[in-house]
Amino acid sequence: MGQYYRSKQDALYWNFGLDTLHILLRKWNKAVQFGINGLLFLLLVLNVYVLFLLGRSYMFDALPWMSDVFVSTRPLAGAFWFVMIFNLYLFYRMYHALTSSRGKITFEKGVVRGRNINISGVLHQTVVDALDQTWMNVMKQRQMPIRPMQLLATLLTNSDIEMVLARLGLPFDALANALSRQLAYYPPVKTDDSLDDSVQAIMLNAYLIAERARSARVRVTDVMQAIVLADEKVQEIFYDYRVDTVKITNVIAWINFNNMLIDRFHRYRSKSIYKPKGPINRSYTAAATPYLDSFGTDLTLLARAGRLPLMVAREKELEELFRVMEGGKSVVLVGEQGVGKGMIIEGLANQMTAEEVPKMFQDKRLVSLSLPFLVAGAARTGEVQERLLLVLQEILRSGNIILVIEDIHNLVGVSSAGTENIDLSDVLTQEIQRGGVMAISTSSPRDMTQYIERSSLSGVLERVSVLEPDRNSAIQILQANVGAVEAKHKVFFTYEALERTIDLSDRYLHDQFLPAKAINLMTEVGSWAAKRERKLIIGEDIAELVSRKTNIPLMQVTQKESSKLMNLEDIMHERMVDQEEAVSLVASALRRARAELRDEKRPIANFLFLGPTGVGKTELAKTVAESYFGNEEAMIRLDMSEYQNQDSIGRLIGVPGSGSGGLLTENVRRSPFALLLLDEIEKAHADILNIFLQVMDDGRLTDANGRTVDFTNMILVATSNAGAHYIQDEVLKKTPIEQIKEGLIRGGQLRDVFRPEFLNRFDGIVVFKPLSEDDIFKIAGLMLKSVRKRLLNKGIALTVTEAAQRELAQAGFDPIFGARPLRRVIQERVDNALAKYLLEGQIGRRDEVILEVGGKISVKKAQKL
Amino acid sequence: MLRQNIVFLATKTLFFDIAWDFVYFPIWWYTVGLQHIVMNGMKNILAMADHLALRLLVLNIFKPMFAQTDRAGRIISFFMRVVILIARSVYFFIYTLLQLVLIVGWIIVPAFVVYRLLSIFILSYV
Repeated sequence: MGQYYRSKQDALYWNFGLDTLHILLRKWNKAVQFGINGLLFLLLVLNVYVLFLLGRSYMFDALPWMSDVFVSTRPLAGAFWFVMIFNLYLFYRMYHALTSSRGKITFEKGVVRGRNINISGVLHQTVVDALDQTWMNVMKQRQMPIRPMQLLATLLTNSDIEMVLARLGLPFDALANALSRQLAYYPPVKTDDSLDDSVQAIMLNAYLIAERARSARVRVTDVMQAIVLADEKVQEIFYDYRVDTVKITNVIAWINFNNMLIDRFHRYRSKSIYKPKGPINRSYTAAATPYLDSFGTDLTLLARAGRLPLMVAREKELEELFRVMEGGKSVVLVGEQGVGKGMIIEGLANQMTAEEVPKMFQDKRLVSLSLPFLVAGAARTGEVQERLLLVLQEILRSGNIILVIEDIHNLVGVSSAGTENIDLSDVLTQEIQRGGVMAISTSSPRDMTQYIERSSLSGVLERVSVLEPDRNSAIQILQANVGAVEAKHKVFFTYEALERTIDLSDRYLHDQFLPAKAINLMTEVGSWAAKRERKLIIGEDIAELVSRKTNIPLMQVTQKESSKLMNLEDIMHERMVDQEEAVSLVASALRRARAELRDEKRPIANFLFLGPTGVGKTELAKTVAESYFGNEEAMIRLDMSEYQNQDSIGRLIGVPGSGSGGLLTENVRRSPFALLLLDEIEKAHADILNIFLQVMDDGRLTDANGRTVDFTNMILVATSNAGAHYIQDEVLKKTPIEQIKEGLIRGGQLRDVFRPEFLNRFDGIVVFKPLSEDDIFKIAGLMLKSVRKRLLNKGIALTVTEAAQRELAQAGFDPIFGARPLRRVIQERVDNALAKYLLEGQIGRRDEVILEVGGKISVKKAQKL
Repeated sequence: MLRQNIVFLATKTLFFDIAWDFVYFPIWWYTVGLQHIVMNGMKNILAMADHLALRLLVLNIFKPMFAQTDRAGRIISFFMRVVILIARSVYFFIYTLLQLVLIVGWIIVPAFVVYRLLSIFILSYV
């Protein structure tokens, strides 16, 4: 006690009696007040009974009965009036408690004068109870004064706090245990101070938090927030469960936000009863619009019935819409599919029913015109135009209608049979120009440029851009929508789950837009979890579902996966022989990507594989695709020798105006999580290399139609045999591979083919060594292994003697073509011979085939069963 | 000893609080409470005026109803609006009266209770 704090003009102080006397007083007070209220209610019932007794003596004849009550001097009438005093007192108590500002935070309007505010006077009852309880606990433990963590430990049992913990996904028991472990360290001290200074500071902060949230009292959540913000030990405990202060603040903001939405909903509902139920406005100047009604939907009527969702986080756009329309112009909301153009219009309808809108929107109807209805079944020449004109005429006559036309670009170029008709958009333009018709329309950026800007409509519609919401707004929108999903599937989302829904959908779901794609994902997760009888949805669940959709590993690394990642080199070597350097470079890039340590604005990795043909460049690319994307088919392969001249850019990224995308952009758009293999990149035209320069740098590429394609989840591998001769020569001279690489990059070998800035963009330039005879022998082993696997499917075992394998390797070895001829040799000598034996029926199930030197095949027949 | 003392203190404080509340109740009734009731009544009356669109009707008295801009339409509209205005004014008047009765009742009831108690228990025995 005794410390003052300043907040704006006010002086805040803490004066709270926290000792046996005051706690007892509060307890007594609570009980006595409860008792008094009960007694007063009894007296009310008693008085009704007295009134009944008085009436019964007159057989409930009103006149003598009332005269007895109001005029006579009977003692029973006296009793009635006497008890009446207590009835009035009861009324006072109830009414006073509701309206009094005592014990509440008040917000003064206009000029603020300084006040003295006792923070302890505006605490919510639950906070007072928590303080009392803490005091008693701490007293028992002899650990005075009360410190923040002790208060927090008491707060945990509060139901509001439980809600916060659940939203944070915090296990209650673990948290309580951690707190009590910490509390045990406090030495048993007894001082006169009941509260530690830090607790007083916390109560002050709680007050400020409550004031900022415009809450009437300091609630338990405010106190909890203040504790977490102030106490580092508490932060550490929460941090063990991956909960930081920002998250806690956001969860509490979420709860406040929901309360705000509920308040707003009730306000709209109560105000909307004044909105007329029909098409006529309150001043009766409007006319009925039967024709319009048959082609449209009255949004204000829907809002009046409480059928439209509340608008969230789009206040700025609505503000702009008001500004433009008050200036007398019609509006086109331009935004991608799913960013919430419709929500803005629905929000406007809600505000219009509550009449919380500028004057020109008051007492008006918002009617959405359906273009499909308008056009449907119009066969006669000029019929569509006639319908639209009639609709517009009704709007003009009625004068209380604001027209909504969604996807207004569909109007452009629509006319009835016969070419002499004018365009529908021209009809609308004319009416808007003449004044009297106000329209709010929507369109997408592409349709806007393609259709509207080329039509007459562009002159009468002012553009209001609706962009994708930022992360925070998107989270708010999800928070406003999560309740419906939770109620439907009986599940519960943690805050982290919502956050990850936004982040993951933003990063991995392309060609859709926030917030729609996040809401869709959330809905999907809801039903997915409900089917598995899961109640709590955490961030990992979202990651799992997105992983299933995209085939990208997104969940936390499990033990099994971790050991797989650590042994990635060994796993890759099951398919690759030697090329140590290449394998380890690629493996560490994949580990970086999986640990999320990579730059998220660029492709996962960019590699240039250099080396002569047939040494395993493509094989390594396939191995990477399999180990990171789970499937060696997750690969887009472009043969760059097909892109040798400048015109081939069109094939790669599309031709402007054609409407169809290019080979590269379309493929990446369709499978954005794959390996992009650019074979023989040195053969591509220099301009095409420039395109890849941008891809490697920014992780994105804009196609000829203006669509941006995302490359940030691709692994880009370019292969080239530029400098292959040099590599072969140097390897023969036994030059170390590092030195060969230096020679390639610094010497003339690569510089003649690629520009230095192009080479610089690669995360790794990997030089593949030519294969030695020994390597070929091992590769032959790998290839024979796959033959063996195929035979095993038929139940036949294959054994190859080492001499035979060596013979095959020798036959297949070619210093220029690497391992490529080997495949042919195995095909000719092994596969063909086996095929012949199989067709002739000389080998059956359970037989063993032995391949020996000279291509000799012997069969060891199995025993008859 | 100490404990008894505390209990006594607590009881005393509590008792004075309750007693003061009972004394404060009539004061509140004729000051803060009355102000509340009057303000509430005014708010209700204004809301009713808004609900009945009285102002709008007066402002638009010469405007044709239902966009019937022809001569006959204008004349009919004018008389129709006058009829509506009268009907709604009567409704509004009754509503206002009710609100006033409430306020007057607020003032009279406690006084009347006291008067009745006095007349029954004191005057009849004097």
